[in-house]
Amino acid sequence: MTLVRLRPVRDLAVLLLGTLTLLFFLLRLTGDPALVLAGPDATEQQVAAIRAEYGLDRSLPVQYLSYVGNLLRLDFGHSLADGSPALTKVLIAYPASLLLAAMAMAVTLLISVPTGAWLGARRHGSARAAVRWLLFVLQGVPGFVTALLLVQLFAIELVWLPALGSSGLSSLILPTLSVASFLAPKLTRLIEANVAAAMGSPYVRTARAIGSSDREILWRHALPNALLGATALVGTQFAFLMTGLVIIESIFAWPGIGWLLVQSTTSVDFPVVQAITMTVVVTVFAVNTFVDLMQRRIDPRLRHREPLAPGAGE
Amino acid sequence: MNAVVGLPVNTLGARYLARWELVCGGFLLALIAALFMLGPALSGHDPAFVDLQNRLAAPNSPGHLLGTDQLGRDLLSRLLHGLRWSLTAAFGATLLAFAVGTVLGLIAARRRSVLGTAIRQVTAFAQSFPVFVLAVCLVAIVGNSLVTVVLVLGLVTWPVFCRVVQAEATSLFAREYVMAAEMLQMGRVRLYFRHVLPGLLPSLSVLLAFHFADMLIAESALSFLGIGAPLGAATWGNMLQESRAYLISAPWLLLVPATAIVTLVITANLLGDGLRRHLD
Amino acid sequence: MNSTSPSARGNPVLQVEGLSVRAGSGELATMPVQDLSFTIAAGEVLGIVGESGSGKSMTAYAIGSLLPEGVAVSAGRIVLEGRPVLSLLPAERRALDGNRIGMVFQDPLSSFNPVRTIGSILIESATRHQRLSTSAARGKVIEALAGVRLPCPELLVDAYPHQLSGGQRQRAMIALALLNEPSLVVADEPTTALDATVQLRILALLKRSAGSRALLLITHDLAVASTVCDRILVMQRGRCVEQGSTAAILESPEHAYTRELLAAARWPAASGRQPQAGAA
Repeated sequence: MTLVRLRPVRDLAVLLLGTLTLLFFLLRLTGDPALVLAGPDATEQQVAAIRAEYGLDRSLPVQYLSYVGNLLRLDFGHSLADGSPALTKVLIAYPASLLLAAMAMAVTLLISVPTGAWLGARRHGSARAAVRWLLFVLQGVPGFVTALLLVQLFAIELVWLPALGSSGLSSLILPTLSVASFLAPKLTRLIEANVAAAMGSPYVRTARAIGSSDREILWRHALPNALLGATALVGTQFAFLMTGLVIIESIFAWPGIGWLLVQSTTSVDFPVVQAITMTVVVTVFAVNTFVDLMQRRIDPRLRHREPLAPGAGE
Repeated sequence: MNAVVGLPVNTLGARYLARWELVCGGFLLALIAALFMLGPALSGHDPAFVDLQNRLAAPNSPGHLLGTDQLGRDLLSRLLHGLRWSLTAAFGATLLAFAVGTVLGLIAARRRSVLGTAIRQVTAFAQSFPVFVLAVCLVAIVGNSLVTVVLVLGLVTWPVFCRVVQAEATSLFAREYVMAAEMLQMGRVRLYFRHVLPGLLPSLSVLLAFHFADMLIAESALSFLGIGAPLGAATWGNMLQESRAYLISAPWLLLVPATAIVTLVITANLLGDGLRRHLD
Repeated sequence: MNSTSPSARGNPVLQVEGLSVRAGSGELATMPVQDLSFTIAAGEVLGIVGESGSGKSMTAYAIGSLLPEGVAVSAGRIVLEGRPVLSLLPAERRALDGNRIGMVFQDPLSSFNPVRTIGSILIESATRHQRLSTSAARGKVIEALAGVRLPCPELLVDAYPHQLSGGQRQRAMIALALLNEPSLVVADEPTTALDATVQLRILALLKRSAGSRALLLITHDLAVASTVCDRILVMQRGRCVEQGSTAAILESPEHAYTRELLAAARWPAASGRQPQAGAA
């Protein structure tokens, strides 16, 4: 039992170390890290000060160790934009992103699950073909293009909703729909595939053999199995979600970590970029581990491993 | 999948659809390739030529088929220049990811070795990692240029190919004819080229098409955010960003690049989907 | 199992006349079953024997109204207990399935929903067809599981398919088929997926449980058919090639194909192996 519990911790450690090292070498690859850290407008003095503060004049191994040491103490340095601690800046931006992510996820599920189930259960019909073609086209429209089109339609032409900012509930609608448009097409196809596979499976045939109706089969057999199968890919969906957040937050000036990331990278505020990268890595890892644990609890195949009465009644 | 009885019932329908998709996709691809080669010269204008007398001209204005933008630059030529940029970036990134991913995937499939295990771990983790975030960071740090975008996108998405190659190569290596060839001490390179790669080709070709679409979207997203493409360069992402201030007065500034991106992505999706159906 | 079957021994339970099944449509259509006719009386065991592709499974599915997408009965009649079933409305048909007809499938692992307990599907069948409450149904199910000689049935009811062995699962499947005391049991290759040692016991269980019901056994193995069946029907490429009593088929086969099958079977004539009724 203890071994199982320790594995996530070990994995996280390896992961963080790997990312740290990547960032470390990346900074040095692009030339003088002091220049990057000090920013484009720094004076010679400021650059020299940075160099001393970060110990960039020492040997590489020493630098690496002190770098890792700093990050382990959660000292990510200070933002070049306003001098505030980088990590704090990131943590302040988190709630806005979480809100947007949660809303978008909810909307996506509300759209994808019924649509996917409907498509997977029906095997033919013109309505089905039409919906599939619509999905196909929608998948070809990148999320940020959808966002811009939505803004064009609802904020500019119809002036129903605000185009920017985060004040009030109405400003949440367009960003949520935009992020959802990133996730919904792929998730719908995934659920459709899973439901279709379940409907064609041998255990559904058994259910038919005992007289179950199509509706009963869909609800009792196809959907549970399909959704269970879909949870395995929550991780990839989450990655999509993050991508969506970065772009959509920038379009709507939504004050989350996505917007912060873009701002920091364009102004080369490296300490903040670093802080964001590390927090994102930790978040992704936490989500994946959580999903893994949940799966272990929900999926009977993973929950009960031992055979019940080996050898008896053969 | 249909384990009830695997009768090829709907193959006629599926084959028809696959053919239709491939034909449409192929036609669009040919059109795009032609435009790519002709380039901005087709429009007779310089994409960077600023003409403040002629700002925000609507499409079908004299001399400007698609109109002009807020600085009077011809949209058609900017569109075509953006086409070259996007296609080159997406193509380059896909090729790079394909090359690195395939090589590493073959190594990882090649039984147990420390390197192989490491590759497998990285690939498994990368599946749920938001690589776009990483790409944003990297391009911003390294600098704005086409080469950077190609390198970063390619080097950040190789796990996509690696995963597929890993899985398929593992089963291929276990097939008898490959084992036989190995026992005959066929040279490794020859072994790979003659036996393993042809087996991988079907799924890889489908993946290439879809990955190309993803790279297109990623590149335009990056340049939309102001990352990767130099300021003022005629890329579709830039054009989309610039169009935001003129949504009321000149909606075509948004619609022209948007339509272009969507068309290209749908083309790639059509080809990928058609290939997948055809090869299933 | 006590013989509370409505048909007295000897009355025809299942009558199949001129059954033809078509798969696909247009130029790709095939006929897995062509002009098949046979009868099974109460208390009788009929075996349909043929190699893969002979249409024997399709026959079973046609009787059980389980034909896959795109496959349908194109001609003929199926009469169950004096009632023609092909023209029934879906709701009427569903009242028969699991009630007057019980199916036993080939692969017991995939035939049970992996994320639901063994008991859940049995309870579902009992509540539906016997109009019982869930708790009453649970009791009946435990009885049924005990009836097929499964150990600790009150535990097994809440067990998941992967927790049981192949033989145990097949016993559970038989329990499901017999739960509502059908007059016809159709078993499609019930022992093919099982270990050799287990096969004989399951066959014996089937025969014993069939009692006064009609049992249709589908198998590719003539030896299996000969141990359990009273009459045998040989199918080749969708058509009935020969049918008659087991003894007649085994000792004086008329058709060349039957003779081929005989030669290929694991014919236990020399060893005289028969399943021990007591061991089931």
